Amino acid sequence: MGTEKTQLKVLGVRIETIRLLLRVIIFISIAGAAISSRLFSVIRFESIIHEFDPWFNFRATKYLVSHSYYEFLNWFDDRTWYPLGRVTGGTLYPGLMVTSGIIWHVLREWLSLPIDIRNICVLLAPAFSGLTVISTYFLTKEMKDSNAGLLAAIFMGIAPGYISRSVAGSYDNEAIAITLLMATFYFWIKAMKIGSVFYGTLTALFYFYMVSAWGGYVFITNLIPLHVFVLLLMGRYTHRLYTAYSTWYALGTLASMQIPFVGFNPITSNDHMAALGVFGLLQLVAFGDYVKSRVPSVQFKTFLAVSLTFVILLGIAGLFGLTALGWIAPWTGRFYSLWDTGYAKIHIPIIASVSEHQPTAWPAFFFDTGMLIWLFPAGVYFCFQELRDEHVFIIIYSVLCSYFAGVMVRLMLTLTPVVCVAAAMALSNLFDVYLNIVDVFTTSSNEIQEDKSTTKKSTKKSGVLEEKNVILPLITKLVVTLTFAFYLFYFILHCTWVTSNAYSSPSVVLSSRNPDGSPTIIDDYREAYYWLRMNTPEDAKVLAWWDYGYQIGGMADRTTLVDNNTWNNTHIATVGKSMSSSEDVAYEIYKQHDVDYVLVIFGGLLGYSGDDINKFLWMIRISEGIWPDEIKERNYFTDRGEYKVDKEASQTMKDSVMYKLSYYRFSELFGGRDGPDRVRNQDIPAADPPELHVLEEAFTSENFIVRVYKVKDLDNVGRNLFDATKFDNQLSKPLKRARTIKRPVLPIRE
Amino acid sequence: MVNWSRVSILLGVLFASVTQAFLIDSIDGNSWKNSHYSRTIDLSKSYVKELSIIEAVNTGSKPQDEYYFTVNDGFDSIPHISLISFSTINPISLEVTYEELIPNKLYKVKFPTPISPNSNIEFKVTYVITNILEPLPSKIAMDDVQSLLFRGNKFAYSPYKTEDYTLIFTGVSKGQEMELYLQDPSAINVTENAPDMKPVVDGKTLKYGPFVEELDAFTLSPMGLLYDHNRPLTFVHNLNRSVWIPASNVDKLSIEEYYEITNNGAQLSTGFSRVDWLKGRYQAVRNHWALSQLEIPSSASNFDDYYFTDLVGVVSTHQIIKDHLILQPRFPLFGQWHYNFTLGWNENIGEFLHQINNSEDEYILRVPILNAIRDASYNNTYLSIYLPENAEFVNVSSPVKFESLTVDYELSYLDVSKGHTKVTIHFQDLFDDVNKLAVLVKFKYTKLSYVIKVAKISGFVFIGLLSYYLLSLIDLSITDKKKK
Repeated sequence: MGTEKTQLKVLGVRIETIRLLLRVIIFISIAGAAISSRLFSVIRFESIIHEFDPWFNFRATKYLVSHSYYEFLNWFDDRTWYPLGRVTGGTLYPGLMVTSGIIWHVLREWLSLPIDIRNICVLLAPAFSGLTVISTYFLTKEMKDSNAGLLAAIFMGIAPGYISRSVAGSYDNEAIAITLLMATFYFWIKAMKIGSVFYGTLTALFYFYMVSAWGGYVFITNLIPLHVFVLLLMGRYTHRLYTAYSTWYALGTLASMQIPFVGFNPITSNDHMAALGVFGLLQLVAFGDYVKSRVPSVQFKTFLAVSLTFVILLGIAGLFGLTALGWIAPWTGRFYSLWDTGYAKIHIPIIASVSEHQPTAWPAFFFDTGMLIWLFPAGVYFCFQELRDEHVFIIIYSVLCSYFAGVMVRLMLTLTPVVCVAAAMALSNLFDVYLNIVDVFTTSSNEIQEDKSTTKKSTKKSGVLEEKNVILPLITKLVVTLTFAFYLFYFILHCTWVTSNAYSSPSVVLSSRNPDGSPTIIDDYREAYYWLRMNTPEDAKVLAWWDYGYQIGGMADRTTLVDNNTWNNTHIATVGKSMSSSEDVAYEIYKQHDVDYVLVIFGGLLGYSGDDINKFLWMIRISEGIWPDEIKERNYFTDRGEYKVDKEASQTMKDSVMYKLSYYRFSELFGGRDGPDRVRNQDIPAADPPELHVLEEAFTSENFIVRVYKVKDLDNVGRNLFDATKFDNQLSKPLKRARTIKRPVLPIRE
Repeated sequence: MVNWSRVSILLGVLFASVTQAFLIDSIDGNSWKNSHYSRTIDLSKSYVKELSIIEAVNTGSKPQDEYYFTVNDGFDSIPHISLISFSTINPISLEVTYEELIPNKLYKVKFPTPISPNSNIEFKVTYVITNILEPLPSKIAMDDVQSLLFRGNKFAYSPYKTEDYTLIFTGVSKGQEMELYLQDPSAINVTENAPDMKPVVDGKTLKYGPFVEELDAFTLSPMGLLYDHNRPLTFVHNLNRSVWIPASNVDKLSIEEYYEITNNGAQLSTGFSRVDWLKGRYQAVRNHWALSQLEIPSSASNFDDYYFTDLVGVVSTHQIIKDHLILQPRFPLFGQWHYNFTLGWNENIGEFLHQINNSEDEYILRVPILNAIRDASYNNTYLSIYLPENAEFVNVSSPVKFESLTVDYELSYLDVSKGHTKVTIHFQDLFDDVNKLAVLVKFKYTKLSYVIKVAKISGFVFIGLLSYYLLSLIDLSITDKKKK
């Protein structure tokens, strides 16, 4: 049989060559599908950076390519967190920026393709998704075989759960992190399987790359030790395991400490203690193994019991002791909110206020992974059936991530790869059985031969029986195969639909339709940001809610008070306070922080629900956390406890700067009638419109989404600004016109 | 160092002004007499166009062909002349050569034939002045009407005596004469007993004169004209216009322009209120002093395939209406508001590039200096022409005087030698009508240099593949393969 196989040729070409060729073609197609399905937004809109965080990454990348690497690491950014600034170089994961920087340099200097850095940033995520596909293939191949690998690759390529973070323009750490995650896992499995120092080193190398790219590296730091730990508990200690883990841990930890933001975390922070503990444990087990091979088993049992108790006690005491002494940092808030979903809401509203930190809704699982979500348990079941060392890894990974994904929406991302792998294993097992038609025919031909040897009489009967035997399995196989073919087809439709409709909007640019149904683009964000960039002094400080910090830094190029790197809760609370309190309190904050412009997002005219009034409760809650005496959430609700902005709105609400800035002159648009707020479906009273005293309107975008106000200077005759405004308003109109506002004539800008 | 350079600049300025004064004084005022002098000042645009029709009589004793023309200024109200041209009308119409003696002030005209004594010659001078209009008041409310102040000499500032003088303002719907407040009246020679002229409205123009009595040479009477002009003063600080000539047989010439624009009109007295803007429907009204759209005639260019972007991405508000490309900036520009953008498109190369007749590898490129934004004036215009890699620049010919010409190289896609040859011509003070003028650029590009480039690129690819193959031959494996 074996010799026959090697001689198998089709049209004179060896079958193995054809198989390789087919595999390459399949890979290219999968990568093509993966990349092209991520390009919806580029085709529909343009090559633009999406959302919020990518704008920072983009800005940092631009800094990196225009400065040297060391300048980048030492970058102190005085344009954010005014007046504190941010030690940007030491507080970011440089992997993403360095990757695109290297690509930029290589293309420019080696291949003479001076491609704009923006296009590299936009297309980085799709390009890396092609690599993810390949590493998923190899990982799954280690789990089962290359058929399962190919299935997993195609699933990984188009699963919306991963696409959500890797569409073109979504230039975020996750874009390359998932690729590195899969690559690290593959090399780990490989290293563990063959006990190779070489693969262990590769694991460490990719682990280092991962550490440099995403804070989620902690997941690897805990998952691999857990895998080893479980294997040890199962009594599956081998020298291979020892070699692989020791190599990875020693090299990986040293390497990860080279990232400035990580620094000494691997030996001081609790998040990393599991890895260290397992490393120590592994040494003990190795020692125990050695002892076991040298002493009789009875003595060994005693030795084991005594040393085990001793080690566990010492370990726990050490952990608590060091944490108490402050040598080891306690767990971070995000970590706690992983275990207790209510924790963040009570203790750290700022973490809870981020929509991607919310618990996942059940439909999201189906939405993000389609039919894979019900193939996934089947795949895990197959892992249990076989239960090789690497299957244990998949089991641990799936159990952990299922839980995490349930807690936080954004962790769907880490669940998706294992779902793809497990589902591919399940499906490939199924196909192994049901696609094998050869089986049916081989058995039948054997039977015919057997029949021929027996009597003629029975031949006829058995022949009829045989035909039944052939057809029935064939039909079953056909039905099952066709069903799954349909599922797969439907899965592709689902993925494309989800990608196209849910994950391909840049969120900086909104698409809409004209009354006549033709598509139109709502570009208010860029309009207002560009106005800031062109027509305000270069050192102007803009106060806005932290969501828009990165965008203002990236597009408007102006100094902000707070941004999406929410490292200083008090500062954010200060901004929240200035928004939620009355004008005079806010004015004091403005003056203390040199604020020149205040920017709010208002969607009431257009019905854009992601606006500041809807986020207002979080601002109140966050500032209430710092100033419980001054800001009280209750005061912003009506007596019946409703969140209202119409005429029933509470006085505190109406007095708040946020309310005033949002609705300033809003109802005038409706010619004396009440102005309908289309987000909250409430009418803003035309009588008694909000009046501004310490701020004046500076710019409002076309659809009112972005409203920019200028902070007035102190009055030049020493009145307080309330009197001054009142006086101005009392003047007759022509006189009022004559009042001019000092605005410096500005030089042109780039 | 600094002091010395300052001193030298001071000296230079002093020297220049002394020579200038000397030059003007040295003109023989009796050689000509202007028997008829009519000035028409067009104020309908954001820059000022002046047309002077002069009939001069040779009062000398010999035939002469040199006439000194001084720009009608006299008190430095004109900062810069954009483009000046002279042509005779009578007896024949001909373009006339001239020599610039003092930039923006004094020109020496040389007629095609000498004029005999007591004979007439009629000729016209047109010139455009940019940067002279200023809004007054400088800050107004959104629903106010913008008025501009024009400063100028009421009379002809000629080195010769003038009879029969007329001054006409066109393009003014409503205006009034203003007395100018001069910073230092003693510094200029205001003619003491200048005659008083009252304007009359004649049709759609404002007419001073005709004043038939003889006026002295260098009559100077500064005047201001305050008039309603409810259109933006579009001002392009910098225009970088780049024209890329392809090396291969692509029939497209790609042009990309980067603009930095400002509205030099009145500033908004308050912050910008979108409510007022929407209520007044100013976006739809063409006559508002805020610059909300830029009109570029598309008849001259081929805007089938164009892009309009700025530093944060694509701007979606643009369309072609009739034969104009309308670009709408992200926000309306009020006085002193800035905006910048990039506009790019492709042209059919046949209309621009020509091979020189009996030469294999010499080409001539003819490109308009500008792409006209309606009613705009341009401060700096950098016209960059990117010749194919290894092309040799020969020379350039321009109908408009340029400040500088630089030739350097820029690396672009797949440039494996020193890069595209980049020829940059710097113009100053242009206005939209200049787009009718074109520069000619002559260069050499041999077939061989194209072949060399292609061969070089394929050579690199080959070396890359070969080195990959050679590297793959090296056995780095730790384990022994044979054992397996």
